[in-house]
Amino acid sequence: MSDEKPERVPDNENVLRRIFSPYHINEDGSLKSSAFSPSSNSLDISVNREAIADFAANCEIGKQEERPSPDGNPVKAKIFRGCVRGNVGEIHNKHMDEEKSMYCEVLATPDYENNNPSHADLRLPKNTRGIRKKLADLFSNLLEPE
Amino acid sequence: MNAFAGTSTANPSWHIDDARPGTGESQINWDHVGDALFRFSGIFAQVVSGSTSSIYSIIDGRSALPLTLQDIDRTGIMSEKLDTLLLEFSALEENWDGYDAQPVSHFAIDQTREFLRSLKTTIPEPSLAPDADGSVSIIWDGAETYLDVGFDPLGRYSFYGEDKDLGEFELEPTIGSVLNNRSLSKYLDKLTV
Repeated sequence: MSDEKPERVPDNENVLRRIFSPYHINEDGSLKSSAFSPSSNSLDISVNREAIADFAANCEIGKQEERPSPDGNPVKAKIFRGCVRGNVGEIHNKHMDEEKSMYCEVLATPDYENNNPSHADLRLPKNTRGIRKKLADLFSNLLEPE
Repeated sequence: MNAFAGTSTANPSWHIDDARPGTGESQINWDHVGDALFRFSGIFAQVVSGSTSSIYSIIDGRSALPLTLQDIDRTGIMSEKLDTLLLEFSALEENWDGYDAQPVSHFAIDQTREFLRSLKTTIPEPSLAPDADGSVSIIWDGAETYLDVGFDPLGRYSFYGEDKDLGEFELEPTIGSVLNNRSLSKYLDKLTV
């Protein structure tokens, strides 16, 4: 496995974040900042490059990942809700603190093992509530699958 | 087969194994059990019979004990809606967000409840959201003030505020009394209607 840092995704691309949790969507379709909270001990948020797998393909990937709860409990089911879209250039150029010293990076991290060459990671400089809010503001409202 | 096979040790008139899980997407549906309404969310059950509503804690998936009055206290800005959401969060299992999220910490849920109960009723109702690391976020997204207060599984609180007069403020995870934080109080005051 290579120790090299993955390449940055070009500024002119868009990335999509697939959304599964209803608790992360506001009534108006905007996203709560919690949708950009990384799991423990990570600073990476999984996204997909739209240039490699378009919106419809991402919906397809999301649908494939759906899982009903084994005991039928809807709270435990994982249901694909749709995607939100962000522009890579806007993400790269948005300063994440008042001192303008912290920025997010979008890195190309294709996942060939799971047949997902469009996979990328949105790397946070820190896991803070302020950074999550600024990121959420850079993404669109929920785009639902047709 | 029902996840909870057993009877209530506190109220033997209803049986957990008579209840079926609901089928709604984001809400826990109610089921009839005799003359009572029943719903559960993993480790909690709520039973409504006539005008009486009781919340039970499921023990080992087999029996239930009533929660204390303190557990269902709805002072401050705690409402049935927020209480129900927190019950739902407590039932979320690993990977609930599709990205390997941790189950929501019961400690964080308790801290959230305590905080909501302690707030003045002049503060508007926030939205709640689980975080992937098992924390709970309490969010007010108003026209002039944005405030996000969170409690994590390690017993720490943090917050981020944006306000047209106060500007931005970020407090990273901290141990201590959230109610004594003067910076947070300033943002909470700005939310007061």
